[in-house]
Amino acid sequence: MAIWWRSFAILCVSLILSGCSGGVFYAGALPEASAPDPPLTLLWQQKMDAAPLGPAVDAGSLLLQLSARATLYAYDLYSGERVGKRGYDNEVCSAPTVAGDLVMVSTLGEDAAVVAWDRRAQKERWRHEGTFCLETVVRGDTAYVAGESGSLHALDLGSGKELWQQKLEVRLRVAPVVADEQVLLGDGKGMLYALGRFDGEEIWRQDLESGVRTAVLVGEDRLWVGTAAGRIVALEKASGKVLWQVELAALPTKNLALTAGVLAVGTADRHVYGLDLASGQERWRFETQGAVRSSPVAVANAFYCASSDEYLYALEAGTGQLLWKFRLEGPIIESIALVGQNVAVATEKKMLYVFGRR
Amino acid sequence: MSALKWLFITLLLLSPLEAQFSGFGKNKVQFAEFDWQKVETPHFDVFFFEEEKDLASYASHMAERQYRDLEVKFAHSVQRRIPLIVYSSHIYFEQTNIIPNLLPEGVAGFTEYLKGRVALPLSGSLPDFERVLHHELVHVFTFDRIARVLERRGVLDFRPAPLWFTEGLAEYWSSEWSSFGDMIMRDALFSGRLVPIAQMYYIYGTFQMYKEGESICHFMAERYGEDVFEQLFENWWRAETFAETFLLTTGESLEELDEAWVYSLRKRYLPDIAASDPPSQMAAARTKTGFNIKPEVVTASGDSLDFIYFTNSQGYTQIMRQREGREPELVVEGERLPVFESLHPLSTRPAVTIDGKLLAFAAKSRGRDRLYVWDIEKKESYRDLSFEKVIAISTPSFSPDGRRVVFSGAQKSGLTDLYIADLESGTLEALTNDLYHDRDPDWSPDGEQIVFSSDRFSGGRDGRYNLFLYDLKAEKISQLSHGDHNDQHPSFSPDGGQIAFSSDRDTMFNLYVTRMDDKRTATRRLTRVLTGAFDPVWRADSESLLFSGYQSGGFQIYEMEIATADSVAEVWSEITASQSEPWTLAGRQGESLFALRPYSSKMSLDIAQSQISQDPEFGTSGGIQLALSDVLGNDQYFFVLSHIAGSRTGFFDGLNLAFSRLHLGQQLNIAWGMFRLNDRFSSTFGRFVREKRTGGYVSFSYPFSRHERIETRLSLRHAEIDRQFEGRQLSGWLANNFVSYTHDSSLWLPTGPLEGKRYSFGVGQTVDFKTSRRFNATLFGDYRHYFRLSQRTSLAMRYMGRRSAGDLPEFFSLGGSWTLRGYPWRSIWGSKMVLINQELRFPLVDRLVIGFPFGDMDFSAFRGALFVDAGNAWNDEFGEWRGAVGTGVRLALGGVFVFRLDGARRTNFKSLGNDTHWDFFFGWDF
Repeated sequence: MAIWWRSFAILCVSLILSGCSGGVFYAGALPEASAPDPPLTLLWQQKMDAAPLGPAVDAGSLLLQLSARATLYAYDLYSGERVGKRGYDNEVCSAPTVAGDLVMVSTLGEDAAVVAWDRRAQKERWRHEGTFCLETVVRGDTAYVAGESGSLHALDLGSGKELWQQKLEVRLRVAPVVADEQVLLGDGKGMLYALGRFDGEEIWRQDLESGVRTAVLVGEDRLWVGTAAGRIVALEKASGKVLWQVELAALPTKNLALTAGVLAVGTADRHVYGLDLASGQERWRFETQGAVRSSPVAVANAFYCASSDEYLYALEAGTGQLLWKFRLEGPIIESIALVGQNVAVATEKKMLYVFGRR
Repeated sequence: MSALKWLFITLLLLSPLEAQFSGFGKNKVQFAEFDWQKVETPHFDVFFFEEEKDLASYASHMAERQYRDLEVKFAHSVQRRIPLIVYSSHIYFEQTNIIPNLLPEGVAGFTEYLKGRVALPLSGSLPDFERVLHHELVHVFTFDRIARVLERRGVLDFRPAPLWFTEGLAEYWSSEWSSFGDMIMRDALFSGRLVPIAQMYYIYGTFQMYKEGESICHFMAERYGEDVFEQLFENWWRAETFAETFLLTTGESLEELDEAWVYSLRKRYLPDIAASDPPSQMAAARTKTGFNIKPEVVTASGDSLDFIYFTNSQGYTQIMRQREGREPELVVEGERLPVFESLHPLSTRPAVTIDGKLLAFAAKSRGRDRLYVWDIEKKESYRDLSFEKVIAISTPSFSPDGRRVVFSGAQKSGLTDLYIADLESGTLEALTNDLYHDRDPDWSPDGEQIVFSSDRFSGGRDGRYNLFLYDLKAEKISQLSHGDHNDQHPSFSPDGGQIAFSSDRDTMFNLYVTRMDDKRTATRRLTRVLTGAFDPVWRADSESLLFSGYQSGGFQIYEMEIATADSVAEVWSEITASQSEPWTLAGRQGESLFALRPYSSKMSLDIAQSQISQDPEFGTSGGIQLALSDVLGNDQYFFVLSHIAGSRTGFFDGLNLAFSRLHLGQQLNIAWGMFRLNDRFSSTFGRFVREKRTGGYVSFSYPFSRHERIETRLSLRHAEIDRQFEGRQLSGWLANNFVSYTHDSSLWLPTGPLEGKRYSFGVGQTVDFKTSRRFNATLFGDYRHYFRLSQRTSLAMRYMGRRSAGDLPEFFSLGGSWTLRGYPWRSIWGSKMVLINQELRFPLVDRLVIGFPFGDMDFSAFRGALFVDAGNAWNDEFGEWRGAVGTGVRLALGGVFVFRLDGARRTNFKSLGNDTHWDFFFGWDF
């Protein structure tokens, strides 16, 4: 019942603010909820001004979605009502990151920067100048921002003050990942670096021979990562030693997903592969009718994945069997997101869909 | 006739001229009419005609397979159906109306961007067809990928990639690096002709640009990773230029890439000079200038060197004869007349009988290839054969008795097989009949065997060719050579004991000789050429070979003595069953899984544009133009709607409407249309005429060949004419008809014609439909002849006359850069006109780089002109000749614009004026 009241209040505010640039971007936090297994129901859909830039972001009872034309939308997660809309002055080049009250986005132009915007106070909190077109990663009270030219900066989340920086002189193509005491970065030539989380000093490096193209997926003592050549590699977290690798021969999705002992990855050759977590052996493959560029996400016993063929699929984690599918309007390139108890996905036809259970 | 030309005709209706004068230009002739059909695959609409049903089926499977490949490479799915139009021969392909351009033989396919269509012909080899299809689909994916990235970011202007990159990527992703690539790159490097990225416009659209682009893409993948291309496309929206996008993607500038790429080429190729030589250093050059290939020895001349060859030193392909101690002698003059519209120098060769009397060659004439047998001494036709079954002919070879000719011929289906033609009876016998590409046949001196090159073995699926023997008695084919390489251009020695051929088995195309006795598997490599050696033929004494050698960006004919050749013995192993196993293709007849649909000429939009303008004199005007066509471009519609708000007589008086429909799918091109126009027109003589006209027209154009056509037009309109400058007003139903004949066989440089002829003459009249009163009758003639004095210098002459008589005669103007120089633009006018121009055209400055003020501005091909003009336009009395002498410069920019500056002094041919009249204008030379 509380949820409905909250939604009603948000709706009233949004009606008042409709047509304005602004609105509600903060509505408190909800307790963590597990994502649902399929089948799902389409709860709502909304049209945006452009295709999505990055996946939808969980912001409590709100869902935030950035568009490729630099507009940040806020939707009530339950009703689907648009409650906020904010345009950035400059072009944006990274998916947004939400940490507490802050939404961090990288902008381009003469004053290119990572901009931290306080969504509760609705004002800019800080900015860190430079071109950083990879998503910001937050761990604790530190934000890690990386530029394609190979510089990694650790910033104080509250003030944006730079704590340290490391220049790797390499081309980075995916966002860094923070795992325990390490910041993990992969470069365009295939070198995977583990740097100290607090000082940026190199802990180890491993040559994967082809550009690192997926964000590193972190397990308890292992890491998994994908390369431009379509190779999926498992490494020992402490040393970077390669444990196994498997060739999929096509560009993998930006992120890997993991559940029930299966590692799922989509590839440009229309497939979603399920790999055995321990050995890397292919457990299953599922063929779609278009290039798979949208990263899969995992729930307890299933993977949700989407393809350029305009379908959202749910696959049984252990077998890859199709459990459910839903046709959307437009190809799906950006990653699927788990938002609260819902699954959100946006298409190149500017449509945002949220699925869940009523 | 091009669609643009028809559009031009439509727009001409807006002018007040009663009779329209024909423009020049060559014709696209629909010699064959096709019954089009369509196959729908998951991603393609494949258009084909009945005779090429198998080809369409192969193409459907190939296209789907390549789509999957490119989907992975681009990490992208194209979200539209791709129209794919296949033609079973290049001759049919040249008829396409998908684009208005005339298609040269070097064009193996194209991708058109208005409707995203891909069109390509089969030129004999199905694997090569597949490679070209793959190449074109890379363009489709490139365009779609960039368009989607820009669309999602809201970037409205399309930012095209540089041509070297798009073509280089298409080559890189459609095929493996080839021997031809090595040949071009090595030669460019060693002859100092390697063009850096920043100056790639020097070789814009050339084969060298394709290969340099491919080489750069290879290097990019090695240096930055294979996914660098996907990253480039992903970043396309972030910068306005390719150089910026490249920089932000790779962290390096194009200059840095260029430097590293050239260095890598040097490291790769420079060591080769130690073990190999360019053709000029290992053999004696027998031709010196121009582009010379495909020698054929006249063995009857005995010890004296005597050979026939193709040359293109003058822009047209010709067959020449070179006899020892003499100047080259023209045997067949090609490509000027419809009868030898093309001699196919790249795909065929001439043949000579053993007695040296007859020459056989293939030439395109009126929509199909014919086999010509030529009396060499008399320089006239001996036999002229065409075959109903065979559309394209190449590589003829005489039987020892000279009565029969074996050649490679393509049927309407596109499949290329070997045929023997009997010269006396004209009958045709097929030696092979399958999907393999059989080419380069050569008849053995004993008349019992034919050696040929073919892809009928396991490696043929990858586009490789080996040598085969056809035993004419046993009617059996046996494989002579084998391997994953190309063996081509086989030639029997005069005694039949050996076969010379060209092969890239050691990376480069070198010359080899194999014996035909029991030891025939023993083969010798004769050359270690740095670039490439092709088309070997034996001299009568069997002691030397003539061949085509590539060097410094061109081909010359060389002679090499076999005894002195640095030969290397090579032993061929026995051919295994798996190596000789022929291949098959998915999609053979009956295997197609795709849906067949009848062709419907559904229209879709080509151009839609609107414009609003304001003019202090004419007021506000606005309008829209629409152009629609079917997927084949055979049916086209044009709409023009505009309004002149300045009209004083209300909204409808200011409304202008025009509609035209063109049908280009047959040899007789038809256009018809309706119009309702009311406007003030600037006449050719600088005065204004207001005319309200409502009516329709029908127009026919019948091209006899690429060079000749007859055109006629009939229009009927109600006209209200206000000749404001003379205070006359007329109205009535006017019928106008017009007929003209046009010939154009000119050869062009970027600034205008260099050689050949153009002429056009016609007659037209306009009568009052009700009263039969003749408004005017007009005659015109225009003759232009271009005499080539040297490679790039010519003398151009124009003789033009026009005469109009009647109650309302037409007026013609003179003056300005295009007609009578020394006089202001259209300053002389009358109902009668004569004009004579004599102009010497010559190269002036080949390249000019200006550093100030914007950095390097690089201009190429400044040309000069010296001219004498004479003419007059008059009504009643001729008066006296007006003339001018002067000089000018021309600068071609981008193949589209030509800037012209002329300085002329007037003359009455008794004295010369003191004032120089300067005229800066644009346009091609007459």
